[in-house]
Amino acid sequence: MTAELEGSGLRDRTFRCPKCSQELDPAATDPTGSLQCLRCLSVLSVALFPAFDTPPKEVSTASGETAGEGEAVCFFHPEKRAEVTCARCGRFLCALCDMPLGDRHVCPKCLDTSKMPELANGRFVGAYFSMLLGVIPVILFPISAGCFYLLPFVGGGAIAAGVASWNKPGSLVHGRRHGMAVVGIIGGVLQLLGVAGMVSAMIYSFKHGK
Amino acid sequence: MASEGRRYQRLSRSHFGLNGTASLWLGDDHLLQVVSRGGWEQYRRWFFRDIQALIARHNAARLIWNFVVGLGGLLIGMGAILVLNAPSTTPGERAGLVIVGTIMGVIAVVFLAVAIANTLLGPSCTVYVQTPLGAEKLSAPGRIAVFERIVERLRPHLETAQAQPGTTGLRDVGAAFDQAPNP
Repeated sequence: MTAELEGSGLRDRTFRCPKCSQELDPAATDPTGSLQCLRCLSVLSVALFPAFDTPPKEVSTASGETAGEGEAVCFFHPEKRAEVTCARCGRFLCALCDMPLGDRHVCPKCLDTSKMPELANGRFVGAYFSMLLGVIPVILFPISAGCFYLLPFVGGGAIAAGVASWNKPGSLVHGRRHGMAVVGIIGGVLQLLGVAGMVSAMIYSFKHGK
Repeated sequence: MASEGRRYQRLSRSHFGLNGTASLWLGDDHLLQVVSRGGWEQYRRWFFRDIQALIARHNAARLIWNFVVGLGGLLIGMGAILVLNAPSTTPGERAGLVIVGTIMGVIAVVFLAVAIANTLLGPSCTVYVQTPLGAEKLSAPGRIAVFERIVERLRPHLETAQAQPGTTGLRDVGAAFDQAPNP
């Protein structure tokens, strides 16, 4: 099973228009770096890099050299010669098992987001969620006051989310958002105080018959 | 965990869209797209060695927004003029018309300012990353000027990464998993 190259136009040094998939020749770029697709008339600004001229190494189940006498062998394919070691677990890997991630080489078993959290493709940022729950009802108080019976849950949720997210991994790019968590907790406290005030006022007016 | 944020440098400001807020970041060996919606962040990575080209397709988003915002501002502005010039019988009624007309005038000015800012930001575009497996659309940036700045910033990193000898391009993960025996 080989790496899929169909549709990339790579071997002919062309690429496809992203709108209509018409094959385009980068040599037709004008001095300003623009290229026009003649089918859909889209104007494209193209920046090419060295990898465009270098096709990726084709890989198949036959990749990797057979190990000779006394040579280190792949952990997963004992008949193939080891070429690199996994950066995470240290296993010897042949050319087929080598999973390059930038400058690192890992084995197929380590290429797992539970073992390499830096490769996770999503993350829940509790602090941001806490801030939304804490701030929006406060800003929209005239509206949220009409649904005051929901505020204990929303405010409590904001406080709980802010506290729970304090020591948890934050955003991959922003890091932990303690400031957002604090804002969310304060908003949650304000909501609870507002509900307590409204309930107290209702009880007072009920007792005094107003 | 706070050190995670320092690994990345921002390439584009947040771009608001229907799918959430998107931004581009520069990592040590990859380009990272972050799409944030509510409390969820979704990440998409393109390693430097796999990026063959960056393509910006010019689109009409700027013109459409200018038309919508400009037309809205124009209509609101005309309404403000009509309200301010409307006849009134009492001072209270006159004060009310002035207040409403002023508010409408301020909104019209805001709309006009948005249209001017949209024009000054330059032509709009949709950006794609070309890899050996085809082109993928980026959620950010949305302006040609920002695209050009990102290209100039990325070019030395990509050329350095792609000039290094060794394994380049993508590998077929499926075959490796099929062949790997269970430990």
